[in-house]
Amino acid sequence: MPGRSALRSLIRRRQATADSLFTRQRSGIYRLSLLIVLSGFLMVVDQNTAWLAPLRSAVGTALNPLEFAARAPYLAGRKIADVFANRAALLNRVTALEEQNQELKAALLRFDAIAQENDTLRALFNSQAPLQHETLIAELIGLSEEPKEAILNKGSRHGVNVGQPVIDAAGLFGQVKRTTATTSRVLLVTDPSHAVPVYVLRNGVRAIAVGDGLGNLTLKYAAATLDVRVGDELNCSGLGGRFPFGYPVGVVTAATLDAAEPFLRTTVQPRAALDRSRHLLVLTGIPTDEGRADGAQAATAPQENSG
Amino acid sequence: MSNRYALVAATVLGALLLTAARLPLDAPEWLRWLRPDWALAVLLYWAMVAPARTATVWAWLMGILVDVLYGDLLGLHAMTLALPVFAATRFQQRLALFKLLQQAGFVAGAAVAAELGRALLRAAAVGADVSPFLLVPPLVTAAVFVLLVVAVPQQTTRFVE
Repeated sequence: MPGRSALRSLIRRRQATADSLFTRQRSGIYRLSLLIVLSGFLMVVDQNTAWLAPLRSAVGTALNPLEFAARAPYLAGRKIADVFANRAALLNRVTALEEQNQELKAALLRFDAIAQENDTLRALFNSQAPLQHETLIAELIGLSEEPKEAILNKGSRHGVNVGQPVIDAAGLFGQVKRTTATTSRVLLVTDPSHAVPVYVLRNGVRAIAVGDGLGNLTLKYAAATLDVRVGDELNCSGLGGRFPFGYPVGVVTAATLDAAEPFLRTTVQPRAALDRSRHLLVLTGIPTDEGRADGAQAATAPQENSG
Repeated sequence: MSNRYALVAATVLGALLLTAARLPLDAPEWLRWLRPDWALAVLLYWAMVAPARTATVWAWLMGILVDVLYGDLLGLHAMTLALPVFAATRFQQRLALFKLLQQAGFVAGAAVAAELGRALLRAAAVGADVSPFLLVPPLVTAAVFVLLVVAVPQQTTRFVE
């Protein structure tokens, strides 16, 4: 019967279409599930270990030209603005800088004398000579919003390593979190995942300052009896070996004791101008986790680029 | 056909460039809330216009690049780009019948889902807070999609089996 065979062939064709559709969808679903599992795996590994750092660094280095191209119009704009800068404004700026330079030089005169005296006294006490920190000037080229990080224009090629402290003219800025060949990302001191051992300049009390994620720091596990007052200066204590002793971290702007809480609640305003500084110093002379491994290579690079 | 490949490459590269571009340091704060998901807009456009079986994989790979550019958790953008692109290729036949405004609505919805997924995963991973301004960038993303449909030359939506 022709009608019946036609129906059968129609059914078969429908079946074939359905099959092809079904298999097509299924293969897509499998692929998608695989990709999702892979993403989840990557995220967990990235969050908990440093295994993906080389991959990130390699991809980041490959993407450097792209970042440079994206930045080019802005940089060009700034250059052009420099060219057409107002003469009077420039003269004013030069005068201001000269005055500042004089003041700094005068302060440095005393500093040199004091440093020398300190060295002599240390020698008398037969203790270790203080370490000199090599520094590398880097320029801020961007801020990432999420997570809060600053991006610098110097990378592993210039001797920047993960873990190195970064300072600006006023105080501790953060520490290097990731590097590519020519750029690096700096975790700000105010990030909740950033902690720095500090001491109170007034009385030497030690504490740990942790970022609160809102542009300030707070002293973690500060006992209710801790002698900290509003206005106290906090400096790096040098404990832990990551941040060198003496760099200013912040000023205590609030210290309240809540009867319901076991710890003192403090707010510390960072000394570094986190939202304004454009030129930063990376302290490259400090041995870091990575620095110990390839310290020889890192030690040679900074001099030629720091000038 | 090679013409189309060049167009795909150009738009994808453009999206990556715009992703890498950062606002000047002295730009006003509200401007960053208007920042669209460039990668998602371009990927969804091509997923609707020229659906390919490998679109999901390409979206995932592009997501990895975006993660590195943003310095975000590796795999975060990869996942949240692959899912909407998969949905767009899966429902391409239906989407092709939509009017432009409806398609833009789909893009905005997908962008909201992606943005929300990212915010929640970030909150789970690093404890970042979820901002209500989250819903603004998807609207800009949809606008970018509309712009692509209007501006990219001679790409007629076609049906695939």
